[in-house]
Amino acid sequence: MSESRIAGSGDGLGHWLMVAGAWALAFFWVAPLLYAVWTAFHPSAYAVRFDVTAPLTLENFVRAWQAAPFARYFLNTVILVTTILAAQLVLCTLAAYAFARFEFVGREALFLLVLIQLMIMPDVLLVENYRIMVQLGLVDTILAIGLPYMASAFGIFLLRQTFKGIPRELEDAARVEGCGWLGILWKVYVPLARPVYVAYALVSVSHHWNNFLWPLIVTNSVETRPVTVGLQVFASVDQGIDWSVITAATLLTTGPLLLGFLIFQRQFVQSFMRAGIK
Amino acid sequence: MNGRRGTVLGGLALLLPALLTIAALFVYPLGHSLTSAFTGATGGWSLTNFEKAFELYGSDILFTLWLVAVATLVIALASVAIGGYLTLGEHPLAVAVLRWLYRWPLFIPFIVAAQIMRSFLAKNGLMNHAFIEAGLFGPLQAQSFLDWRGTVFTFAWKQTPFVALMVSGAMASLDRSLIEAARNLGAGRLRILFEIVLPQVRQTLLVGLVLSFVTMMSVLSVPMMLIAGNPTLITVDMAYRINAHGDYGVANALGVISYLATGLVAWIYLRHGVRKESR
Repeated sequence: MSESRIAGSGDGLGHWLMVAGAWALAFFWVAPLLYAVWTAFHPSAYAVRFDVTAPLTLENFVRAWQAAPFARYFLNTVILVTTILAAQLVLCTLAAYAFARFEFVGREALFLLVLIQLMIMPDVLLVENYRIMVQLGLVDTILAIGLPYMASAFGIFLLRQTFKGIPRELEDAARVEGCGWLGILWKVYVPLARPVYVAYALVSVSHHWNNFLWPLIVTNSVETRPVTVGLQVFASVDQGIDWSVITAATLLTTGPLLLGFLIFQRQFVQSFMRAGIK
Repeated sequence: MNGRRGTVLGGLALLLPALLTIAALFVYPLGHSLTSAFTGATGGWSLTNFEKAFELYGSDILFTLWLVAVATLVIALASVAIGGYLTLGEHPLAVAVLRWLYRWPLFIPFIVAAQIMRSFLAKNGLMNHAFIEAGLFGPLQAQSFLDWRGTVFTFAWKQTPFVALMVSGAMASLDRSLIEAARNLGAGRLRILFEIVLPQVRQTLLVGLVLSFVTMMSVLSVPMMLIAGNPTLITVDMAYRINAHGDYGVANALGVISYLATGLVAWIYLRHGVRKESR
């Protein structure tokens, strides 16, 4: 009896320590974001000073918008992430289906090649990829930014696992109904893998929206640069360090992504839980 | 027989578009990068580029491996802490708030994260101002975190949500009866986390960490904006060799060193996975 009471009181202390730890971690985690929101919506004088009476302003967003052609950068980025995602969905779905459900010589070796690609980011091959884009005459095009990422190893890996988890009986039933391979893929596998597609789409869009190094190297005009490369103008010394404008610009670039996450939050998290990545 | 041949050809036909893309934009550049890295000024096979890379950037190579390893460790600890609290935490409000908050950095681009941290962690940034106003130290004691510490923090801040999402997803799909049984027998939450939950999600954690390691090895914006001077990460050195010297040989040698490191990590993961599958 007394032992259980002692254990209970210890557990109570541990419980409150964990609660306090979780709150502290949560605050520390969100502090940089809160800071960005604070500075972006307040005059420069309050960039590093917290004052609840500080006036709100949108001036920083106006200045950031005028400092770089953000409208064009956003358009380029939307075209880029849409093109990449469309190509990835087609290529990865077909490849994942083949790896999951077809037996052929060299299947394991080819899958190993995909896994190797998963471990080597295209960024470290940027010198050679740049040469290829020069040979193809694609330098300074949106297609050049997207091409190295279209056969996504992560997409193939994720979808293969999902397809392998779908019961064969469903495929057999569809075949009895007269479906061919592509019909089975389209009518059985793709609908059942929809949550994974949503999760993958958000990861892909977020990754390519974020990408910086390759677009920086392969583009050199306003007509092709994505927002991340455009944002670099605020990192240059000649712009001066105005953190309020910088954070306004950073919120401008990341706003659409955060909005997308808010809209698809539930599907996104559930998809990751169902995917069972191992 | 015809059906079997059809299946083989069908499988290869489905794979073909992805395989052609991988061959053209991964295998070919990878092969070319390797040969370029091992080609000397006279056009023959040579280790000159590697000698030059180690001579000029030896400390940066070690610094990169060390920094990314430290960041990976921090990500592992933070992900397990977050996943563990979401699975075993008993304070519903704290669990809900943590669940809502921890994912946000996932959608912040690396360059944006670097921008935010550059101003947040600077000597006269908001973090130091908050500490000074809280009376933790005076203005003279304030120091800049724009070095390896800021870089590790930024990497961890940016990558932890991805790993934590995978880990917490795996933890949520575990059989709760084992956890409840351990709890009924008097096991504390830390013991349940480390002895029951973590062993079952180890493989998922490993995948997340390997992917994060690979990602961090290829990031340019964070070290470029947060680390002034030397040592720095090898992605910065690669960009410098190309932009300032047009030196593709040494840049490729640094690239080869980079993917040897990621390849080693991948090999550890694959070996672990194969051993697990063969059991």
